[in-house]
Amino acid sequence: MQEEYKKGILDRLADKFVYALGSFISLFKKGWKEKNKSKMEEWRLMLYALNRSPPALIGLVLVIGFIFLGIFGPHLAPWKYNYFPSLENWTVQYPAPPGTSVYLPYSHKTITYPLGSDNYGRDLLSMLLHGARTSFVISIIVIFLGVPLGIILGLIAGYHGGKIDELIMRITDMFLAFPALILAIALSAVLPQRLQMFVQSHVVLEKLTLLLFALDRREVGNLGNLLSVIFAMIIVWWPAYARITRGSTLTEKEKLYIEAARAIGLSSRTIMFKHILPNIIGPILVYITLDFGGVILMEAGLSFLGLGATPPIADWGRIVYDGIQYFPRAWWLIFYPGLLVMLVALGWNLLGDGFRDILDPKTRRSIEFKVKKSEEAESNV
Amino acid sequence: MSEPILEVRNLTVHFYTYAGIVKAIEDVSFDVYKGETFALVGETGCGKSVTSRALTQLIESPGRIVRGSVIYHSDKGSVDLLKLNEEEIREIRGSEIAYIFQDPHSSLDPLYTVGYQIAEGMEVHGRVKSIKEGIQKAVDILRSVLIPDPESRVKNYPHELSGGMKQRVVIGTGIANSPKILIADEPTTALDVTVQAQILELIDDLRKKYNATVILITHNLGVVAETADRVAVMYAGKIAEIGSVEQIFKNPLHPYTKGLLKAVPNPMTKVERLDAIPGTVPNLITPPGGCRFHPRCPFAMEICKKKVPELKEIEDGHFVACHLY
Amino acid sequence: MANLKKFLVRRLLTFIPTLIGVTLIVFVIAYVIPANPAKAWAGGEKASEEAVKQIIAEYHLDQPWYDQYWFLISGLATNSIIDPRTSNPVMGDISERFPVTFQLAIIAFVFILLLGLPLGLVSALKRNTWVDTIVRIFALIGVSTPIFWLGYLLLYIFFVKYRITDLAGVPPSPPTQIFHVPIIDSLLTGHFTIFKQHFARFWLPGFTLGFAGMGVLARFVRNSFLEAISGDYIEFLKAKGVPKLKVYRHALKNALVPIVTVLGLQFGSLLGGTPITETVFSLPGMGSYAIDAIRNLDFPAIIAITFIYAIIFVTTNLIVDILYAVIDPRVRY
Repeated sequence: MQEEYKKGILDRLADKFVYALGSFISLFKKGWKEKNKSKMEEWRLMLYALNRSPPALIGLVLVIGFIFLGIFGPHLAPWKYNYFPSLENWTVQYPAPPGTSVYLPYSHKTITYPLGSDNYGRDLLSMLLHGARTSFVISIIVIFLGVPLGIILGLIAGYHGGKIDELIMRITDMFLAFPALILAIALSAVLPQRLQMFVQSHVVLEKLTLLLFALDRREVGNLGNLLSVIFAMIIVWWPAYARITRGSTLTEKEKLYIEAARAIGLSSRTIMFKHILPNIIGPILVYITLDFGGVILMEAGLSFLGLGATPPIADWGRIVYDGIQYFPRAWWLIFYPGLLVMLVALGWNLLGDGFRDILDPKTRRSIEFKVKKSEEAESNV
Repeated sequence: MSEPILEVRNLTVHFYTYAGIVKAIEDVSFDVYKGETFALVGETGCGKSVTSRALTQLIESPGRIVRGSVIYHSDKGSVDLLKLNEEEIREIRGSEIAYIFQDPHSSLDPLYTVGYQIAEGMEVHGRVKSIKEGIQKAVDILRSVLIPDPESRVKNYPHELSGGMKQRVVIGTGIANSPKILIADEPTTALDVTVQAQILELIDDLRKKYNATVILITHNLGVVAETADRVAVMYAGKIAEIGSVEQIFKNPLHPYTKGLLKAVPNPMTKVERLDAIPGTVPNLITPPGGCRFHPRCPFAMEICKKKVPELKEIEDGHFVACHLY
Repeated sequence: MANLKKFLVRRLLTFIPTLIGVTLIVFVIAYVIPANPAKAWAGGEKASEEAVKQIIAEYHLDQPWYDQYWFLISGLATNSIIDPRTSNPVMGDISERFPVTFQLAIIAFVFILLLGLPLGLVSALKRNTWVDTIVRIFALIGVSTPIFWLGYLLLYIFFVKYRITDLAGVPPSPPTQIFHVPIIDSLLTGHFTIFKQHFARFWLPGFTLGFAGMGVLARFVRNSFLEAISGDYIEFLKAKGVPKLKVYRHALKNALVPIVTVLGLQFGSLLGGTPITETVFSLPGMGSYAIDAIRNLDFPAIIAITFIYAIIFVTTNLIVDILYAVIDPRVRY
């Protein structure tokens, strides 16, 4: 009874979005859109449900804002992250509070600090914009490398069972025996030198890293530190996914359709990736969304401890680390970067929480019920 | 006929769900007589469980009892069970009217021993002074529901017992306070076929022993024929037909009852072949107008679409809700 | 009870391979360390060749990996590894700092329990009302707030603005020590002034560290309570005529089974948060010791601390599993 829903702008946007997505997939798989009408209908309903959950929408806005800053932040920044006004004007006492303007005699420019400056006179706003890129790229890499690793190992362990399962899960348990942040601290403390050597001996990797993080050529010597936190977090992140995936694979593979797939002689790889994975991916997607927030928090925590990004590379946690010696006078060096970390993490968490509600049929009902009730209330007026 | 112990009139329960208002049962009326076994029969989802639970207000949100009355004639006089407050109805549940639920595997709290759970039922109604005394009594109760070695079983946790054993424990909990009415909601559905007969026999023996009344809810006509005295057939939240077992099986009046009897092997008459009832169970959010069975009824007339049929007494004690009569 | 004993023995046996696994990972971490820390320890670039050589020999840096592994593990076990920075046995340094970290985690844990449990129950009983929504948002903000940020925010309020708390040093320990955790010992032995001093120093860091956990626990308590209360056995309890409060008790006990697990995990993430909290509030615990060690490339200390954290974590999990088996008779099989 679709007609009963009153469609808002967001719902119509959702319609268009799903239609566009369907057409996009159809570009690669002919006739996909026609064959998957009911799937698309379900997606639409999910988005409708999302539209009716204000927290999830707030989360979506925050996340989209973060992604936008992550991509365009360095280009929007009024000043470069490695531009040090203190070298030009020695008379100013840095860090300068928000709103200060400083005349730079050599470049004949005036720099205004909307959010204040750091102890080298760098514009905090610009550093935060550059830092968005750092957080964004790190979280993407960690999730996109760590999570699939965990999922694949979990699938293999759960599907094959026996000795392979035993081996993979014992290794997983070993990693899970450490508090995550402690293991990450230890790894990012010992790894930088080797990673530095590695990245400098692979020119492509070096160029790619510089490009991804929007860094100057002269930051080459700092890449090892940056990569060490990425590497450390990947190591910390995969075991949880291996465990979750294995658990759901175990229950899923007992189901009849998997038995049927095996009976008609499909290869185990096809069964794992084409039949089991799509059926267990829902909850995993929720975890991934939540974990984007988790990665950003952990990265900020590590760089707050002085690990990872080193100056002059702009990084939210690192700005706080360098700013604490001026606490409480230069409160802005702690307040704004921390606030950004919180907002971004909150955005991912709100969105993930919303996804969980939509993907769980039990709670999805309660959302739709509210829709119905408000419709009734409207029609009564 | 003996005197009624329960008079149910116009019982109506709605569920206010996300998809709309589910009219789970509507204007259900029937009498239950002292000492008999009364069976409520129907397909899954026809509202028989809801009816049985509504008798003692055991309906949880989003469900609500919209109207109706359930007059209970006890030794202390007559009361309308639906008018009692929470505390008053609680005192009746488990002591005067006890339940046995469908799935013994989930009816028992996994974290407590079975002895504790039987004792708890007696303790909350003041039949024993303490749980400890209750557990001692539970041994006798387990013995009366034919559990071997009750002295050690009383200390077992539910997961240590088989399904049949668990259901015996559930029955034991039900009869612990020697209730006047025992409501058994599909008591054998979740059990192995071999155990089913034993459980039914046990319930019947206990009924005789304690002089109780049994309301048996089932979709299994074989069970009905074997154990029940009278039968009410439900369809889509309404009573279609009420009568004695003989009347229902030998002389079914309602087209639905006839269809139902043709769809399963009739234990009382020989049938040549089994026929399915065409169509599907209606959606209870927007049930068909008039008689709810009319879209599937081979004898449907114009009036069936418009007017809700009333229960009419055709022969002594045999009621039917159909415009054919 | 026999089942419980059997379970305990089995669980303790699986504890051993996990411990070996932990040492292996710790070793791998140690092994990745580049070969030249010797130079740094010997005094940087100016270090004499002999000093470097001596250090390489002392720490078995030129030996094959199995020898290094044995040196490291046996050294940690017998406390014979000397910290090149402080020239003390590493484990000695750590055992001095351990009580601070442990006390911090305990206080944070108490905060989590005291606030998280009631909040969760209230939001379950008032489900889908504004109370529930507030607890939900509180939980999400809790897990999204960086510890360091919250720490400085609270410091600004309670230290800079109102001087309610103190940041200097750590109060003395009570004369008689039982658990070697001052705040517990002083309470047990009746030294209330010392207890007060410790509480005054630790409540703010403890709250900061536990902040994320409170909301998480509250949400979890809510969900598992609601899950438990929708069970069939709850309906059967009602059908038995059991009063509401007693029904809730059954539901709570059933909800407790998953809650205990989450509490165990919470303790683990509390441990993980200690380095940051200790840095913010200048507490001389294991976490800040680890950070100092990192700044000075003091690898033996890093490794030892990682090892200790893992041991605490694994032990916590063991305790959780045992609690689990005590509460839930089904687990014992």
